[in-house]
Amino acid sequence: MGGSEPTSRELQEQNEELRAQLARERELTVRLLKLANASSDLHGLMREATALLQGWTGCEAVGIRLREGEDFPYFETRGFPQDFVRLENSLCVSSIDGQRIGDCQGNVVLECMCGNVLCGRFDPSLPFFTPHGSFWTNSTAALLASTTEADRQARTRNRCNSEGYESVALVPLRSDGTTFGLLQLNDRRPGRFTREQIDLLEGLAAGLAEAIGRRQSAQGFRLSLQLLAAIRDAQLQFITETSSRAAFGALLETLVTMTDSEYGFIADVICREDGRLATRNLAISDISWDAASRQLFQQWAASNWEFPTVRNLIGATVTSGRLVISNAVSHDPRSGGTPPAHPPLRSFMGIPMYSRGELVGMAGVANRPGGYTEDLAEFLTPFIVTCAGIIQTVRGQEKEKEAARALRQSEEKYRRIVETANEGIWAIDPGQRTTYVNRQMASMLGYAPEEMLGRLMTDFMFSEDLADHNAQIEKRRQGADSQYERRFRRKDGSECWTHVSATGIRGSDGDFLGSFAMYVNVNRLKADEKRLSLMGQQLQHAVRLATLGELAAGIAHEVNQPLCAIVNYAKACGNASRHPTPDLAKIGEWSDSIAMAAARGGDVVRRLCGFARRTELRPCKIAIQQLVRDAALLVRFEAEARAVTLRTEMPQDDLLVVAQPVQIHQVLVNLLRNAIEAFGHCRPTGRRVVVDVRRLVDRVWISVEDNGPGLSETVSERLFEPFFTTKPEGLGLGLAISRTIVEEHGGQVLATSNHENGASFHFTLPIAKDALQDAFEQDGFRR
Amino acid sequence: MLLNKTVFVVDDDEELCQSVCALVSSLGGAARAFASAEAFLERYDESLRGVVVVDLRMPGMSGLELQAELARRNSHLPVIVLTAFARTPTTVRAMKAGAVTIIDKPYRDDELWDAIRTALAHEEAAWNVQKRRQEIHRRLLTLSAEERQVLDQIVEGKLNKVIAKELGLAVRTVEKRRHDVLAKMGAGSIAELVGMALEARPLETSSRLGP
Repeated sequence: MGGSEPTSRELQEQNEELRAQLARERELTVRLLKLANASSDLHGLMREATALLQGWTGCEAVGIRLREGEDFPYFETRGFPQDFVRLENSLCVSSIDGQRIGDCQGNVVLECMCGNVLCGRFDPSLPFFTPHGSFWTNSTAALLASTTEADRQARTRNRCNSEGYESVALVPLRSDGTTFGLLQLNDRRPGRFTREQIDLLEGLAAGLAEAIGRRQSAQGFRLSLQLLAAIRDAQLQFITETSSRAAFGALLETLVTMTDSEYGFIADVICREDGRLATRNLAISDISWDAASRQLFQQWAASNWEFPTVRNLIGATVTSGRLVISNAVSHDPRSGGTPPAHPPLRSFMGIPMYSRGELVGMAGVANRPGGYTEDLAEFLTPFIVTCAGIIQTVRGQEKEKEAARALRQSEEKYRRIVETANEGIWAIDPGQRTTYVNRQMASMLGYAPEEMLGRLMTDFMFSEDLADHNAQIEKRRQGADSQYERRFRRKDGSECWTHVSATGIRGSDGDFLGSFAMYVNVNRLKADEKRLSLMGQQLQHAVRLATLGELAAGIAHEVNQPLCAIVNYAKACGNASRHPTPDLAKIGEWSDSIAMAAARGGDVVRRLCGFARRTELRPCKIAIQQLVRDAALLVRFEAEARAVTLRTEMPQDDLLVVAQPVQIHQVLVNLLRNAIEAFGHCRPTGRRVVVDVRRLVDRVWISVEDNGPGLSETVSERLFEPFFTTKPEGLGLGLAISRTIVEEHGGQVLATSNHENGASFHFTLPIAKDALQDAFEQDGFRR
Repeated sequence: MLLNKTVFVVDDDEELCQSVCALVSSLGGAARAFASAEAFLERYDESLRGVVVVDLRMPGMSGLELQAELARRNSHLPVIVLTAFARTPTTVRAMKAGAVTIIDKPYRDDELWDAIRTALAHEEAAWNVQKRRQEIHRRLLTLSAEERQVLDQIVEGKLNKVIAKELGLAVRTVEKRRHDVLAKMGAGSIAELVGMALEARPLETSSRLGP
């Protein structure tokens, strides 16, 4: 065999080594996963994870950076010199005086190789990056000598190298696209890493990142609970404390604590008389720490904490009405600097507060380590909403106080107005006793004010109106104002119609103290209204007569048929009687037929007269089937002339409704005629109109369906409009009147259209009460 | 006069149908009721004798449509149409076409019966004309094509010589054929032959154009 072939012993050794390595890796993975899923907190997890990795890799230094604001400082280190950790803690680019430098958009720049790994700035074609964005080298000196700054993606501080670290691995802690931080392994000895080790580390880092994510969201949840508790406390304080300052003070304290800020303020935004917006501090952290700053603080207090908006970060928040975040204040063009005695301002977040779409205030916080983020502002939303709500409420209270003062001042003026008002004014206590009534109200009812005082309002009303009256009073008790019409009994017993505008009277504690209302005499208007409804009846009648005229041909046919039959039979009887041997049986039979034909003619005439009659004021109980049959008869001829088959589908048992037969008749005739005339030139054969009557629990449902062209959308919309018509000679009143009639009967009208299957008009009528009872019994609903 | 004749009453209104039947039977006539024009046409054949009384407006085929259909079938039956209201242009046109009487409802006591009687009298004459026409028509069908050609020329009033020239025949041949035509048709003279040909023309055209 070839000399380069390993001996079987060597092979065995290699195999055993490989197996041992795999076992170690498996053990590491299992231990780390156990750790990740243990219930330890973030600190515990990181401590144990770094120890484990240090033990496994044998590296002298292991560190983990985690996100804090926009920076990624070390969260846990093991084996790094203290100075190295202090100097390398922040990855943000800072100026000499320690201020952060942002890019042109004010965003923080993360530098060095750690920044590359965290920001995903890497070139996978370069040997020191993995496709997953990790960085690793076994010799920093060789790397610096063989690469350019462009290769290294960003400015590198080279502190690892100058500290003597030759082997460096940086593995991102990333899960589901979120970067939580990175894992750093450093060793002064070169050549500590293999590609396989880095692969394994990447896998472990992903598991670790997921564990971090879980713990952070749990922490986020705890923070949310904390925030809710703070909100609840602030609201409680606001309700119990007389001063809103204390409530805002507590809110500000919560805000500063929750955001890890050094100081902050809550202010409301007001519009000054000169039209400029200004902020007025409701709460502010005491930032005085020396004589000069104390003076500044007192100076602000003297100005009632009111500041006109100027070109600074606060002004930017108020004028833009948007969230303002600046994590590098000294380089932010929006910043206007601070007064000399002002404490240093490194980072700032201004959050606008809106209530009902109006900017009512803002909160500002400063100097959070690691800076502010939009996520943080998002997290604070419920808190901000609460603040806005409280500001709005405080404003409302101030306005109320102002109004109360104005009310007192003009009370006398109002009294004069009330006494001389044109309208009647009437106030009652919760028991509806008259506490005040002005002269106009009293004279409207024919009394003197003294006669009415102390008497119940209901004494002046009609008993049939009491239910509605009590409902109105109840509404007012619940806080609703209302306007309606009310009839009163005058001293002489006559009616007095009034238009009422009423409101409840409430005490300072919100108790219902009675009701106050203004009354306008509308007797004349009422009379007009009656005339109007009479016109409605006359109109219905006129339309019925017009319908009759249009149906003349059909009517003539209906009347003529029995008349002709009578003539024929009578003639036949005459002929037969002149016969030498008259067939008396035949004559008798024919005479009976004459009587029947005459009865039929009479029936038609009675129905016609019924339809033409002015109106039958008293509703009666009548079977809907009979009304449908009568109506169908009136339009039968019309249907035949237009080759329309008219069909009725009705239940055998009578469905009784309480109705004015003429009016329902009119509705049916109108719907039937519309259906028959709907065909126009469409569908020359197979035209069909079906009247379908059925019971629907406590009502009758009547449908008139045609298979004509259906209703266009524009027509559907205007169907029930008076004077809207699609017929050249139509009045456009049929459907409008039909709807009025049906609704007066307590029913509803509905039109549906299907372009394939024509149009359907439906209406409902309540079934007569005792008829309903019978129906229920029949159906076995009872017992 | 009523012998072998029937009044065919066509109306969707059963009461009216029955009353007309009663009237006819009270005078010793026979009547049959039909609920629709279609029902009547189903039973119709040209041997029926009598008169049709039909309502103008009915579901399906109207009275006037029935009359038009009977005319198309060369029926000799007179038609009386009952109508409920003033005459429309359609009814007037129908009347001009003949064989139809329009009666407005409601009618006076004797109006319908008078109309039936008059119509029946006309029916007698119409029946005879129809019979004669059918006989002539039968005889015309016995003519050969060449004889028929010559007959058509004779009806147009042409002389033998002209006919011979137009048909490219010898005058003698034309004379022979004319002789055969007169014999087959049983006509005594040329004048009678022309009269017969003209009389049968309605049947001729309908049998040529008919279904």
